[in-house]
Amino acid sequence: MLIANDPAQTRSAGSALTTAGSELLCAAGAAQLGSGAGGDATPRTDAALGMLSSDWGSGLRTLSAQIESLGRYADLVATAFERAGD
Amino acid sequence: MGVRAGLAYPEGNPAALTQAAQRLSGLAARVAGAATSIGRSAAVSGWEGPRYEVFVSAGRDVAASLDPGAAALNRASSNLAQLGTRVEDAQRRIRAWAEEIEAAERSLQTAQSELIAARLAAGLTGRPTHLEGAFERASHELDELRARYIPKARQLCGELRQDDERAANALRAAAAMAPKAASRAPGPLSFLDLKTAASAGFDDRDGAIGAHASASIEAILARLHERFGDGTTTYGLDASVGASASASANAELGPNGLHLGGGADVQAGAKGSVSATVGDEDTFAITPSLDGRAGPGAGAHANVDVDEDGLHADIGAGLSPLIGGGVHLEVHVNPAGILDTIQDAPRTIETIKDLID
Repeated sequence: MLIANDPAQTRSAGSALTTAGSELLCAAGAAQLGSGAGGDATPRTDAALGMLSSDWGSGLRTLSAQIESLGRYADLVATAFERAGD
Repeated sequence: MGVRAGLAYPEGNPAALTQAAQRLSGLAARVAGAATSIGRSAAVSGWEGPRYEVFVSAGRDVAASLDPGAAALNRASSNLAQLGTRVEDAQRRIRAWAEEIEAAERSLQTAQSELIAARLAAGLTGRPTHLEGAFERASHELDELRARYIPKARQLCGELRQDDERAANALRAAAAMAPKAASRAPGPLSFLDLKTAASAGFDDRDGAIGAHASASIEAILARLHERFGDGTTTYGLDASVGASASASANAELGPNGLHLGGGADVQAGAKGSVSATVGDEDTFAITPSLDGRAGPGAGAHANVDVDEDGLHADIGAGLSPLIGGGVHLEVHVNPAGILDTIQDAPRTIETIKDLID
């Protein structure tokens, strides 16, 4: 019966999305590459590296929260399905 | 740019550039992995409804936006690694040239010192011609090395500036592909849905006359509306969190029948309902449902429709001082559909008999 299969799959999706959200948060940490890596020889690269670090760091942090929220939503739906199936 | 033995020299840390390129490549791999995982996880079989559409498209949008971002990070990483190699190579070559020039400078200083000493020792008796020759050769060699390497070092540093610009462009392009909350990421699934409505009037349209009055205000933080089933029964799941108040009354008489309705509802907090529809909408269907409420609220309503499809009654009431619930019953009767079914019965029996025989 359809209703019996839904909660487990939906909960599994929620769990995977929550994990993906955590992974994105770790990636946000990895995006902190720092600036001034190359030194005087590469001033433009150093500035662009700083910009990339900042943009990807904040973007991934925001995305991580949204993906975790998507995961929690799937979890909520799974719980609702389970209760409806009881 | 710095200077070493009179040569332009690219001061910098190529190892740090190589390390940053590796971290960028690792970031690209993580982002690509997350994109795949999110895209796969968002597809859930067996869950249908408008909220699922929002859910799955949010996941797919994120995955679709992260893939090109990961590719841009990989391109930036390649450019950065190449820049690190070029800086290291330029530093090594210019350092070797500078060491050649410094050695020639030391040779010249030695030749000059020996020549001065020899001249002092010789006094007026003669000229140390062999030392003068050595001095001139050392001086000539130094001039030759400088003439050869100064333009080469300048050219290498110029090429590095171009590499720097190229890598910076790739990094800027990758930065532009960073996730942005407003455009690439899904919006929050909990939303404030504020609705207000008020109306009153008298209608005379399509041969029907009616009067109605209603007023409502809703501030919904989150809402869930799903329908799913197994072929014979349709299950409904509705839930919302927020506050709402509404009241309405209406009556309409026309060629399609009579409709009378009215109700009032006040609720703050959360409310939800689970329902199951058994039967066939074309003949007879019954939909009992259970309401649950958390937070103060009360409500009652009644709707009666009499038309060519039969009688449709929908009544319900609920009360919740803090936590409570209510019952709701919807009955749909279609005499024409039932008559059709009865009329079809002898034919159906005949068909069964044919199959048995």
